[in-house]
Amino acid sequence: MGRVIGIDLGTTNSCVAVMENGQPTVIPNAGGYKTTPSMFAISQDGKRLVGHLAKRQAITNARNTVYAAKRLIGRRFETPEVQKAIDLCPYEIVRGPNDDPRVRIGEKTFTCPELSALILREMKRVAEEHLGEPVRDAVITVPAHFNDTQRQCTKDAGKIAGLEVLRIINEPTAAALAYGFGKKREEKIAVYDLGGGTFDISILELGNGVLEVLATGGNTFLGGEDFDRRLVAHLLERFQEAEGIDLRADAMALQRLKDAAEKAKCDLSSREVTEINLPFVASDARGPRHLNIEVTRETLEGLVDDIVRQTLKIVESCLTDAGLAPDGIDQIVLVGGQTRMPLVQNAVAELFGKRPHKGVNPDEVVAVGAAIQGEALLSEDKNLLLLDVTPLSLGIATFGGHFAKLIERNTTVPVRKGHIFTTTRDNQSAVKIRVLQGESDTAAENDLLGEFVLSGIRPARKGEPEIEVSFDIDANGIVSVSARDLATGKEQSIQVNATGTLSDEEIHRIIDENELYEVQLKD
Amino acid sequence: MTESRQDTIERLMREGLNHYGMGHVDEALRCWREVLRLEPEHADAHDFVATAEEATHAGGPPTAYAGGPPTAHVEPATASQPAAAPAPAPSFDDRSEDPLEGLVTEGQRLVREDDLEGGLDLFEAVARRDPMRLDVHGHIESVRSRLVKQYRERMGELKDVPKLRMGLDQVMKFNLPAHAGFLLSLVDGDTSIGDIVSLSGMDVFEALRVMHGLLEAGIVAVEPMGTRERRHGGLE
Repeated sequence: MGRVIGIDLGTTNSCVAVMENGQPTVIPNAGGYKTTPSMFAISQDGKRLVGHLAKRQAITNARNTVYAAKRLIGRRFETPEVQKAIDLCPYEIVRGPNDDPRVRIGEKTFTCPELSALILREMKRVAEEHLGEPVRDAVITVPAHFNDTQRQCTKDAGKIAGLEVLRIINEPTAAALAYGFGKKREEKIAVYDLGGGTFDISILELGNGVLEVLATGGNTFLGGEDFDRRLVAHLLERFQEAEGIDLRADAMALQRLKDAAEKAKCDLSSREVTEINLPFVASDARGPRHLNIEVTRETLEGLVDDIVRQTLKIVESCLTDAGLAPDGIDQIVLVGGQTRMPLVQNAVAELFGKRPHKGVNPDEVVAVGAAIQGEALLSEDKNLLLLDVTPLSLGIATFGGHFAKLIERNTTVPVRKGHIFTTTRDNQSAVKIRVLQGESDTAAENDLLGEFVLSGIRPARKGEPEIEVSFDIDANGIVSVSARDLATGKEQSIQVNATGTLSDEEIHRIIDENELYEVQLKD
Repeated sequence: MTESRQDTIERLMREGLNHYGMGHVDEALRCWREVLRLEPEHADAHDFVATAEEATHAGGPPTAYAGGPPTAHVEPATASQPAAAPAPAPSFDDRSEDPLEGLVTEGQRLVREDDLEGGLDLFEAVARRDPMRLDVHGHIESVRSRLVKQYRERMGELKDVPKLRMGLDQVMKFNLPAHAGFLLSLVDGDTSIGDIVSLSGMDVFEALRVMHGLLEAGIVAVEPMGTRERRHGGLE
């Protein structure tokens, strides 16, 4: 086995790290950036763009630029998150044959794992360029609240990208690993993750190498880009006041403003004042018009204060879910580039009554943790490992629309549990089992992972046959099911085909397509 | 009444341009080659054949109205005209009183004198006022093809990287339109000409034209890519 890379596959940005000489190294891309925008585009002249190049034309070519595909992965088309994305995103989201959301660019329709694979492949390439050797094995991170389907789809994405995904781990787990928490004593940790497009808060309990997720919360449509949008709106107003020109319908001007606003926002994390200078941003009868505006940190903070307060409300709610008061938290970890903002750091410190932990770059902390996990898997050093727990309970639908939990949430994974089922009618030859994941007692309110029919049951009176159904959750949090008729000893091969995941056939077709495409490129 | 040799040549030249304007390159080539058979030294016919053949080899025949290859785009004012219903091209004689004809003739003269930009400006002006002049679109396509070739010869390889040659204070002295300012904002010393053209979202011809203008004005200079690695990642 070669080296194992750790990939933080983010909604807005992705990052890759590897262990070198016992130390985690975050790998910069060819442009020198340690994070790569999780964006994919097809330019108007037909070129495929990934990362920074895709981002630089995201507004001028909005229809053909895909971002935040992670919000869609593993979800059903009619879920609120997908419907909201359809409302907000300029690119076209269509219903796939598996009831999954897909993205159409021109004539081509991309599955969500395929889109994530494009980003993963780029991260793989970044790592290979740095290491000077092919990379195959990876640990990929996902949000703690991802269900089985979302994890399975992420794994599929890795496969399409040519990666062997050794482990899917939770992002807060990776962050905790990067800080080396939980090795010696029990600690309660709050991981405050404010990325570009999403906000996640996780309250974890760590001890004896096991990580338990006490509660998670968040908003999948709140992040650093909201900060950028506020600043852009402010700049548009000031320019209009000064020059009498409205740039809101000018895609080229908006692209420049968005890039400049993001840079100014970053500058204002370390400086009190910054200047935004966009020469020739517009022209009218008087000639070229230039945008030159000074922005202070105070102005920016005034523009986004309510967004930061919004995140704190979610944190408070999450603490309540965990049954903890803010002072019950031992460590606070900040994740995501937006947490560099002093306003965010101060607000979090004020809420918890203590300063957040510092030391690892918030953009890189998750990838670093994934690389550490990768190294641990490679060396089989159990001391390095943190064990995840399943974020959601697993069970089946029972008579009357109820949900019978067979594996409770927060059970350490991997885990295997069996349950004996029987028939409800005389001479019943088959039973249908619906596998669900979630916390509601009502079956319909949980996520349907899949359903299967166990057939070939010997004829008998109702209640007599004994069928043992075993539920497994592997170390990645991915579910599989097997069933055995105890009377005959006959074990049936059962596959749970979750809605939204790709069949092996589809995955291979996509891989083949990509290979063909790459051959064409070389020509 | 039989057509004179000169009339036949003029008719074939115009028919060729009509075909070319509609994206029918083979038909256009057939007309212009017929002209060369009648008058082997006909300079315009030679130019048109060379341009059309080059465009075909570069990426298939252009479609003047509905997108097509990079060199085939036209101004938004004319691009909005429907592709499927072009009006029959008026015959040469029909336009003898056409007030725009003088502009077309002048444009042709400028092109013959190698003032391609000047000729293109006139053809585009005519096309804006009478979008149904297919022959003018043919001229536009032809001149654009030749200009793209010139731009690329002067700029070097598309993989070469343009860099700003002067400070912002000096750049501000120029009277650049907003789209040139936008293109200039993409010049970061890392991104190649080809990538800038892709990123701009602009009509490829327009992007090259603006970039060429920035080079000619001395605002940017091109650095050969050489063995430099692709930066910013991800262009496939």
